[in-house]
Amino acid sequence: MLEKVYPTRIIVPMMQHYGVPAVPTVEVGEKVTIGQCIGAPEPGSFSVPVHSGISGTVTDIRDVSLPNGVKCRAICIESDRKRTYHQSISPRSNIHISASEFMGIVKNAGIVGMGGEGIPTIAKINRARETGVTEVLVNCLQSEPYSYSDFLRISDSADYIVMGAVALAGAVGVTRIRFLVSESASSEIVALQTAMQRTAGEYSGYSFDFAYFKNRFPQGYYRLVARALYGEILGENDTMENACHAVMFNCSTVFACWNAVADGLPLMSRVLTVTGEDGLGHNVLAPIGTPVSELLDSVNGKLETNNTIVWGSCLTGLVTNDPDNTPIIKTTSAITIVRDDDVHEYPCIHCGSCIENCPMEIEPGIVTTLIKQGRYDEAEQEGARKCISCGACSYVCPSGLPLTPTIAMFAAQKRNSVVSAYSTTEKIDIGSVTLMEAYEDVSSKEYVKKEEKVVLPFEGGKFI
Amino acid sequence: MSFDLRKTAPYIHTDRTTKYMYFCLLIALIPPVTYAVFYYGLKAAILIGFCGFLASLCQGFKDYSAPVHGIVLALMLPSTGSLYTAAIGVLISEFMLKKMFGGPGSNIVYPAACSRMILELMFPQDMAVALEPGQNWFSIKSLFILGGEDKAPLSTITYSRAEIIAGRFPTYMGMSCFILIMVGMVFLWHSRATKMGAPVAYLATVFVIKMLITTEGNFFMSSASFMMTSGVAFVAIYMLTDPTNTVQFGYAAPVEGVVCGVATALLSMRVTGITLVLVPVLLAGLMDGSIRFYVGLLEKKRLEVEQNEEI
Amino acid sequence: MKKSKIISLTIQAAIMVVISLVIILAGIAMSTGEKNERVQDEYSERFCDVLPASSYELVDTDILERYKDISAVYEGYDENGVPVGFVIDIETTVKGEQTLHVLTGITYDGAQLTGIKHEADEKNPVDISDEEINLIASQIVGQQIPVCINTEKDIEVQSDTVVRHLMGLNDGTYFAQAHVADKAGYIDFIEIDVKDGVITRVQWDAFNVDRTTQNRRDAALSGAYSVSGENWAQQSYNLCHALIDCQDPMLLAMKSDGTTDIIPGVTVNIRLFMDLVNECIDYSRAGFDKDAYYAGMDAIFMELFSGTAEELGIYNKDGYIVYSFSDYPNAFDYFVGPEESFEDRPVLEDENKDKNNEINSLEDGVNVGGSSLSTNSIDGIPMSEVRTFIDGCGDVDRTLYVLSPVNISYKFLKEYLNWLA
Repeated sequence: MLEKVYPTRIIVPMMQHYGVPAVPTVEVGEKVTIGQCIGAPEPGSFSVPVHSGISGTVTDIRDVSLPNGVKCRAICIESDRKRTYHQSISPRSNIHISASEFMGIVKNAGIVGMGGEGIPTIAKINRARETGVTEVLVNCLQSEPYSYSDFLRISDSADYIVMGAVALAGAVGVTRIRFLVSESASSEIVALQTAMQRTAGEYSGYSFDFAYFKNRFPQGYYRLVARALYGEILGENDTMENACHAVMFNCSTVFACWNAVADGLPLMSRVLTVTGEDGLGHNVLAPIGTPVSELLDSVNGKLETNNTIVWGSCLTGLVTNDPDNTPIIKTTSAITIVRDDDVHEYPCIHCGSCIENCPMEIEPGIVTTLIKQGRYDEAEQEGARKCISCGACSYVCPSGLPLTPTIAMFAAQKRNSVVSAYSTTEKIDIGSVTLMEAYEDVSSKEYVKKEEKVVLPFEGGKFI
Repeated sequence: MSFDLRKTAPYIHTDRTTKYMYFCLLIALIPPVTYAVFYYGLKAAILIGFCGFLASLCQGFKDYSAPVHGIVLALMLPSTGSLYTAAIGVLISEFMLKKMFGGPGSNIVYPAACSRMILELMFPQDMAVALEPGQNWFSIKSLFILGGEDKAPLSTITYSRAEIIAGRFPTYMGMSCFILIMVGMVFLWHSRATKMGAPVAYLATVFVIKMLITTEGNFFMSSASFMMTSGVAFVAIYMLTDPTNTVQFGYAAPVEGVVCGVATALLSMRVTGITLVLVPVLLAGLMDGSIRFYVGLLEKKRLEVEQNEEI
Repeated sequence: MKKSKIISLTIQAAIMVVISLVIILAGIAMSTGEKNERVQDEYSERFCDVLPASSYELVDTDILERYKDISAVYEGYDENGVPVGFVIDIETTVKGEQTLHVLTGITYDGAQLTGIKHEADEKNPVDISDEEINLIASQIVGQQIPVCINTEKDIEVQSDTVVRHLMGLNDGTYFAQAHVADKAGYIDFIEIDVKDGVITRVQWDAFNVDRTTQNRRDAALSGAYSVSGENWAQQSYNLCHALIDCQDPMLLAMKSDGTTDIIPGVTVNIRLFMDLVNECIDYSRAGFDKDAYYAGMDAIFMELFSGTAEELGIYNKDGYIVYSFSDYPNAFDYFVGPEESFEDRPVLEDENKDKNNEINSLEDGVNVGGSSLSTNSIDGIPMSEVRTFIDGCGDVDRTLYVLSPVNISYKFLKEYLNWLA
């Protein structure tokens, strides 16, 4: 069941994506509405806009440190509890839009890879067009323990996902769409099949297909998909587009794309799972920027004093020690509460479980030993850099060895783990817009100009 | 940004820890222990308890590997074995074969198997099977006689099929009842504590090759009888499932099982007794363990020396 | 591990114990029949040469702890479940480390050797050939035990124990029975064997005028006949062996009431025993053996009934003349007894004298043929108990190797059965 969260405040970072941060478009004290653009990319920069998921007043624009190491500015908005939508938000009656229009909508809606990558979707579309892909893959393989947000999204909004996939395929310039699903996710498969049947007549030029995968973590990772589906082993600089001629989007991203097209809604909220080892998971629809503490409060006190709050899933997430000031962002798919149980560390028993479970086919036990012995070159030769920090080796290690952190620390030594993302521009003045106005439905008979009252031709009536 | 390893992903851990594995192995040892105590009485119970406890004292109750190895050693002793030889076996197993090579997880051979072979060479008389099951239940005199009483070893040749299936023939304490050992195997498989690739491959290989090399009589029954009386089942289930000593993953596990099985079946043409089943396991473990030992410890030592020289 | 996991595993452990016990019990149920069959086949194969029987059962007794040479004792039964004897698995040690492993078969009463078989699986076998063993076996199988060897060889003095016996006894079997039956219809009899002037066997029993009734000994053993104190058969045995030990009935110290205090367990009236024993001793002095006695009895029957006992059909199945002369108080006036009668009692003579063979006493187990000397003991058994004397295989030592397990078997059974007839 999808629960909706109405936070009392949100903290919206300017940098929730791969690229450069957006620049605030509001100032302290300003009133904002739902869907209003509060952070816009500097012209020409590799960035995406950021929107408000609540209506209220901007109370602060301050620095925030995210658990992933990103430091950037964030806009704090206090809710007025009115849930006032921006006036330009309205459902689109004519959904037959051009590829360029679609791409514009996607860009201005601030859509990024919601599976965790954070790559601006518009960038992926452009890359796919440039490399000449032949199919679009929709990744429905959420396999992290205790996380079900994507499954809920698929069950709840299979139509939007199918339509979003069609739109993306059109934008990319392909007709073949494949849904990557777990073979055990029968209800999701049925939902998608039903949606496909409804769509098939109208979009007969597109072919839909399923690719079934075993329910194995982390099967949804792009390198593993490339190996499983195409038999391609991607090198460090390879992408799916150039190696496999396919572009993959997360199903939540696909949904957000169509949500932006059909309902005119930018990416300002998302479904995520609030869960824990007790197995009582809640799937919630929360505005981007909702503090973790408010999320937890909304699901009735899963937080206990001795628990650890993980920003993300229990295998790949990051610990947050300040839930009041740690917001969820566009790529956060789960908030997990774990018990503070110490796993006792024993000597390695050379069972090979880590090797057996490593998706990247490296030997974590041996790599860890090499790193501990200071044999870094040999560790690199053994593939330490290939590690995707999925956590599978540490999870299965019977001796409780910290394999993932050791290898991750080693890999992080050559990377700057702290990203200070600040732009030189303090503010961009664009007024109160969603940035979606440029792509309003011009085909509607009742379309009126922006300065006049807006009448939306959706079912149930109108709003002004 | 510094990493606190305890606060880094992953934040959950499988229940299949080393402790859990060995705890399950302990439970899987219950059937042969029950058999031994039921048929051989107080002396069996004392021997088994003594070995398990002494081994645990040597290593501590950390991951339960010590009591497992101690009990496995005890079950490979004859019921007329003495506490002195059992103690020597446990001390060899824990100190020589475990601690000297780097402690738990670093032993190069299966400790109980190797120490049992050493006992066989040092105390052949004490290691001879000399008591039919079901006799002298309350007698504990043999526990205190170093060197064992001078009795002629008994033979299993004349035992009926039903007796062999029921394990009612004289052999080492826990190695006779094939069915009970299979119960242990079913439990291990069900608990998913260890993998069954190596033991299944081992048993299948021994069975098939024994059938092929049997020259007279019913091939199937002869091979089946061998499987039930030689102790291969015990070795398969309690040694080849030990994650410390046997490769557990991928194709390596069945390959090791097949190699051990071939060696056992061929060796059976020349050798009988406990030597037959332990030597292949020791060789396979030695091969695997030596490589690990070299890669792990010796390399580390070499590196330290090089670094010291540079300084 | 979490607490719940530990609890779950503990429950699984308990289940494993239960399953194991069920399987063990099922195995026992399944295999017991075949095991018994297999065991009986093995026993039959091993033991049939020494003691033919339908089935054998291992004897479990604490007495075995005192007999280190005996590995196991088996009791044999016929098809009706009636015990027929014992097989004793015994490995004796001689000359330090050499051993001889044999099976001996002995009748149920512990009196007779039914067979002896060399197992030939010794680690350090004694130096004796199978032919020698077979030769000795041919001399002792079917004979009464314990067994001793006859030899005229000079042997080394080992002890100088004094042995006394009555003077003037002639060798042979002598018999005397009561003239009248007692209230229960039993007619007592005494039978003695004399060898080399020494009383070597005494039997005191009674047959019943009702020939369908068991002898008193058998009746006592089966519980049909009871007396106060020990079982009558036990008392008879003790009394007979006391006489063998002391040789002179006077030394049994019978009191005026007919009882004696010096023989442990004997509380019955021994007067009739004494009368009959003295009669037998007199017959022995006169050389009036059992056959002569029966001939004498025939004279009575000829006189009274004009027919011999055989003609009159008054022998019972054991060959005794079953007739109570209660109606004929003077019948024994017609008894044809020995020509010689004795007024005085025979005297005991000491044995510890120098003889031609210059022996003060004799080595254990050897009875010098032709002399009235005897040994003190063999394998710890007093010579007075020895029943059979053999020539052996020509070598005293080797013969003793084979006799030793037989005699040890006798000793064990004597203790186990509490008596031997």
